[in-house]
Amino acid sequence: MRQRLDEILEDVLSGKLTTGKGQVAATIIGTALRSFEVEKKQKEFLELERRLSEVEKMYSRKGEPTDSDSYPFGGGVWAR
Amino acid sequence: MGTIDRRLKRIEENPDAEYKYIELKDGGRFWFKREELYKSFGLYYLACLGADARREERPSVPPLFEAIAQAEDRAGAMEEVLPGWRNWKTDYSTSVCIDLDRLVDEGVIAPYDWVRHIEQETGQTLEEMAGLDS
Repeated sequence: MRQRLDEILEDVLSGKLTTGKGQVAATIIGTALRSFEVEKKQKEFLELERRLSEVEKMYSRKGEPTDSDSYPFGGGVWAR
Repeated sequence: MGTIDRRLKRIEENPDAEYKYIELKDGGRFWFKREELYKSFGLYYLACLGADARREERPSVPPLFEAIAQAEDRAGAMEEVLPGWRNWKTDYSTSVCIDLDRLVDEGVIAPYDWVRHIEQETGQTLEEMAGLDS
């Protein structure tokens, strides 16, 4: 998309594209780029939230054994 | 986000934390307690030794070994759990009855039978060694 923006700039400067059309196209591309950025941040935030809730869960289990009476060979906690 | 990520990582990887984790191939994690490792190694080893000697079925494999088989970095996970593990067949202070080489190299959980190992090494059956072959 950045390449497309450069092409639009070239076209506007060379007169192949009107400044009005160039501005509209650039605005649309800019909006799309920002939405990708927001989506990326949202994914990072959700990943952090997942990790934080895992850590909270593990700390809340402090002192508790991970195995059970029916299985004495060590448990663990799967987080998926 | 970067700062939060670093702060969270410090908590996750705190060397004094009760729980440690193994990163899994599917993106999940397996959390285990270092102080309970003796159960998956020592206690399970003793139970299997008895079962193998009696030719009985072993108890089900501890989840820790399943997690190592599914780990993103099996060798790293094994090193975290049991440093110097490559000597498991000759270092007798390591009580383990799963083939760790196969677990790490192939991601396969294969039982290792110490009773058969000793029988092969000595050329005698367990019953002969115990004087019960008459």
